[in-house]
Amino acid sequence: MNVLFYTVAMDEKNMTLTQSMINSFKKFNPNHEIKVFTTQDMIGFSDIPFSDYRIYDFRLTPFFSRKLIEKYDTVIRLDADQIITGNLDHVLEGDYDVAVVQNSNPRDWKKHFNMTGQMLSLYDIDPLDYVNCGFTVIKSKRFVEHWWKLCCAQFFNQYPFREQDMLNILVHYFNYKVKFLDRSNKWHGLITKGYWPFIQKIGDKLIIKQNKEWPTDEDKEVVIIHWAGGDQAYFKLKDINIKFQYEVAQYLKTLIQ
Amino acid sequence: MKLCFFTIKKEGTVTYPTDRLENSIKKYYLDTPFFVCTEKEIKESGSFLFPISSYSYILTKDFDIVIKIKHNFELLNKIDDLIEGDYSAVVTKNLSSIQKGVWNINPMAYLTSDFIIIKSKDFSQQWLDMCCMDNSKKYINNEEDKLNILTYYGDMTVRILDKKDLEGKIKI
Repeated sequence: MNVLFYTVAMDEKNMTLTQSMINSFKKFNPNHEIKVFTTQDMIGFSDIPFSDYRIYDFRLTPFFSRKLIEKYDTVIRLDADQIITGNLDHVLEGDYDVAVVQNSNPRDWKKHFNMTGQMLSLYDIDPLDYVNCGFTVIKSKRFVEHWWKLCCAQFFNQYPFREQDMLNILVHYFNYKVKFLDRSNKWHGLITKGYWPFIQKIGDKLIIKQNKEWPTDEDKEVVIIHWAGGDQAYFKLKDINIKFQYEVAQYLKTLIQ
Repeated sequence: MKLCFFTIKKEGTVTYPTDRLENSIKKYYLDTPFFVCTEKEIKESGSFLFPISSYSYILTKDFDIVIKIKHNFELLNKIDDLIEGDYSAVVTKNLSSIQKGVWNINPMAYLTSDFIIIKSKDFSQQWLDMCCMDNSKKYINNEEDKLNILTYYGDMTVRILDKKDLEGKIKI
């Protein structure tokens, strides 16, 4: 199977984060190809000539993925503001059109709502089922073309989370085969945000043990940590000692170097 | 191309006649099958909440073009110009005076399920799948709401008609 992991670094500010993510990725996934695309690459991906790359803001995942899927069987977009903390082979398993990760958890959702009044959801989607587009695995050309079509529609700008809202519409209302990666014993990204102090290093794995709050069903292996927050993510990376237990923080630092 | 018409005949306190519609179809499409989906069939199929999409789905297995038309409508002419064209479906904007809406779709653009031409198995399959989802009870006009979502957010080519497109062709 022909697989490509990729990320997008839109400016120099993102390069530190991007390099950290790639360093951590390679430690656990040495056999997988990972590419970084920049604004310079966008010309080759665009259907039309353009002078301002910002016309593709908030829809970069389908923008790049729809062209990449012509060459690869599976295309995985990772946000740069992540630390990969485990092997990702399992995300490729199965017959599906798209695999996605959760955007939230009870604690983070409540905090965000109290601070901003934003629901972090869309229409009647349960907030805990609303998905994040910081880690998307795409196997279907039809799916990504459909996603791109929605991202070019007139109503696109009416949606606060743009491509992510469009992704949720496709995942929750259309009959695509969807793999929800966090509905397993491995967690990827924002599903752990707010619970980072509970993460323990056990052997060479990061684990959140089952508890009364989150997760309630079983122990979870954390394979991705996602800072989120756009430009602010770089500053959060500096807070690594505060956000995690000492041993975990030291371990994360070795992963990103 | 195999073509058929169908309507939904609901019973209960009022029995809705379908003979006028049937006669009008026979006048312009003599050899074209016309099916009436009755309350009994709806109950038997277990699709009480989504009879139109489920009956459309069943018919698209045997027919290339399936036209659903409301029981109290009548054909006034042939509608070949509405049927022709490379579309997955042909749908119509809301024909009643009752304003409806779903998501951020403008009520003026809201589509009705009173008159639909389905030309793609994929369209009927997707419509039925959407209607069967767990969220169906959250949508007041489940079938019509999902038809709107499928049309405006789907990836198929759909022709959208205005009321004036039906003038002289269909009596509403």
